[in-house]
Amino acid sequence: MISPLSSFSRIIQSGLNQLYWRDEPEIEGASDDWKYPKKKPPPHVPQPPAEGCPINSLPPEILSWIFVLGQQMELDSESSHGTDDSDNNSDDSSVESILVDDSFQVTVSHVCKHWREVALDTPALWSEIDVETGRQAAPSYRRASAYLSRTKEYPLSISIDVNDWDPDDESVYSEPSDHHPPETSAQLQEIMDLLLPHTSRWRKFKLAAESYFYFHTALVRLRNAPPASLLEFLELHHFDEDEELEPGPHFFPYPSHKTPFVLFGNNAPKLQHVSLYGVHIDWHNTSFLKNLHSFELAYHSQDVRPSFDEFFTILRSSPGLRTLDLCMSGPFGFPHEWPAFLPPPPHDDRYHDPHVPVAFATQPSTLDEYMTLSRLHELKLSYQSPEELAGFLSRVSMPSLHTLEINFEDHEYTEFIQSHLISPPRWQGGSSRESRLTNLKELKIVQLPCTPKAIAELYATLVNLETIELDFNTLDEPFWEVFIPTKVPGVTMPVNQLLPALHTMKVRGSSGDVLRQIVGARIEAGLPLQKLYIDFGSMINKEDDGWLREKVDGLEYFEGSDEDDYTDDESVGSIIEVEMDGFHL
Amino acid sequence: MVLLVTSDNKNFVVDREVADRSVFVKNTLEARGLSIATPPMLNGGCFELTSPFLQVLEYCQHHRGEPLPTTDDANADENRKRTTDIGEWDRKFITVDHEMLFEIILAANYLDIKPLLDVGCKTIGNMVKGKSPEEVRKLFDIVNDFTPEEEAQIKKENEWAEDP
Repeated sequence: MISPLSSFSRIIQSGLNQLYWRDEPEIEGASDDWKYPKKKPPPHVPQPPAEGCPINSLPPEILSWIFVLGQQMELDSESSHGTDDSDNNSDDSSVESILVDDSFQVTVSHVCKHWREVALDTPALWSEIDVETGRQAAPSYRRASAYLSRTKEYPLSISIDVNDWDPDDESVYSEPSDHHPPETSAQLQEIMDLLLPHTSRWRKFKLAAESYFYFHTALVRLRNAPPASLLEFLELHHFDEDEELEPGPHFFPYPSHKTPFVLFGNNAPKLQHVSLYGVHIDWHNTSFLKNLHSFELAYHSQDVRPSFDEFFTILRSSPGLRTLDLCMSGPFGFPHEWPAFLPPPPHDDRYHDPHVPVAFATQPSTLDEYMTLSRLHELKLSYQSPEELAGFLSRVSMPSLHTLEINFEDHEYTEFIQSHLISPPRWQGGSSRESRLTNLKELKIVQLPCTPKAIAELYATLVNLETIELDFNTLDEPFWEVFIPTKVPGVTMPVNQLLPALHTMKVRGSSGDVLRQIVGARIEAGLPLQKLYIDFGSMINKEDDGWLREKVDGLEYFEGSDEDDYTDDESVGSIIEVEMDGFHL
Repeated sequence: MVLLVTSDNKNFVVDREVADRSVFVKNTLEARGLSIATPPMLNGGCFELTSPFLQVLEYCQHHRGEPLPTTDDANADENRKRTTDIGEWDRKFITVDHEMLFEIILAANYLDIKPLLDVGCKTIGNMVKGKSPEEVRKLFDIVNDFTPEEEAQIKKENEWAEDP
């Protein structure tokens, strides 16, 4: 008896399988005249015998594809769980620990000779290159070198993590310091020496450092780097030495490093995603900040921000922009000092994205007071003053806005909400003046100091909102009490008209009692929730869970990063209580 | 309608929309300008081929009408790579023994049904994920054919440590 696999495999591998065609539905008696050439014979690659090892009957190109997909699934899994298994086995007790790499690609390369040959001949498997300074510098450098040699000409995803490390001072890990050990700088230079010759195949480049001292070193190297002709993602993240220190009017703490640079010889033609945390470049002379799909600016002191014209030129030159994220950053200066008109669209063919239809292209080249971000899908605004926000919103129209995320503190935002956020744009004429949020589908609010009336007015405009995410740890009660009929004094909106399209709610730091009331009120109003996501920091006991599962089909718990900042004794207590009951969420 | 004939002379009459899930069949029909045609016959005379082919047809029937993945995009493989989720129906469909899984993968590759090929490959990738090399060998009955010296060498490589 021939096994199904061996028979099929033999047909494939021996090239005996041919296609036969005929125009009449006669099955028997196929002749050579009907032979149709097979699309591609399998490549001749030596394979181990499949006997007793069916998986090795798969052609090498399929095995290679299995490895690529498996690695991607592992990366996705690490990303969603916020872990990096490849580095979890480091031995912290030694001065220079061993970096045990048990990543997917290394595992499959150690199974047998055939798998190793296939794995080493699959450049995509080795193209994610993570390298760091500090105690892991040497092994991570060697790993990067080995991976790099296996990638051949494949595009690279590079991540550099600059950890400060002084071999003579173990306390340097926990204490921000103006002292920058030469070892770290030397390690960073070696890393750049290794990677810069390959900039032509960088697809993603990410650099994270706690000190701008090292960023300056890296930026100087990147200024002189060869063109990054394949680069699509650029992330430069400076995490400030002192988290409490908000960027002020002046670049701090290294004024001598304020000089901005043009990177990659001003040649990164495929760049689509830019994220800059506390890192500035030469906004005026950089020409590759165009045709962006996502743009994130964060933690910039006033004197290193792009000017009004530079900022809006970037937006105007990116007609396909889908995501904009501003956190303690944006155009230089106070909005009342900004020019009355936007800069004209660049008269340069390079600024016209061939993938964007003419109808979505930039505004006519007249002097405009505002611009239309036709494709902007997601807007995130954090830690901006009401004046900055009002100034920004007064200059942009976002007809496709789908998702809004807001996280504001230290100011009072009632007037901003009423006069700018939910009001129709000032240029919108005619009788049907709709709120700019009318078509919004998803809203996430982390912090928003304002009056209950402003909250009710905000909700009243969100007639098409389908998903709302609220952080009960940081928001005032009216943000959720408005959903509970008995707790809404002063709010005139009938509950059955409150967010009528809402079907999904995501909450952090809530309690079972409050969620029961909200879910019950939505059902009573004929607007039941279909999905409810609750973070593990919420106080949900077994009874709450059972009740909510009865009322909401899609109940899920999640572990996000935001709630880590808000873990308190009560929420920890709630988790312990659940576990003590032998009940696992 | 399209008539598909397997190597063991089993006939399957299916809608063109179902047959077109196979890029190989679709292109061949189009190249020959056929609206009705007898389709590929796998010449080998293996009775067992009917079994994976039935599975493949079931998959094509379920996904009929869905957009076919573009192949002219330079980033087609990159896009396929990024989509690592397996849908619920596909997950149940592909829950078969190892041999059938490999048969389906081979058939999907031969007939150029990339979504099915990916479902099969992701399923194997999921089996491997999180396992040690030894566990992978046990899972798939793979013989460790490294010499002790070779194994010592690659283990050392695994640690990315300083040379002794």
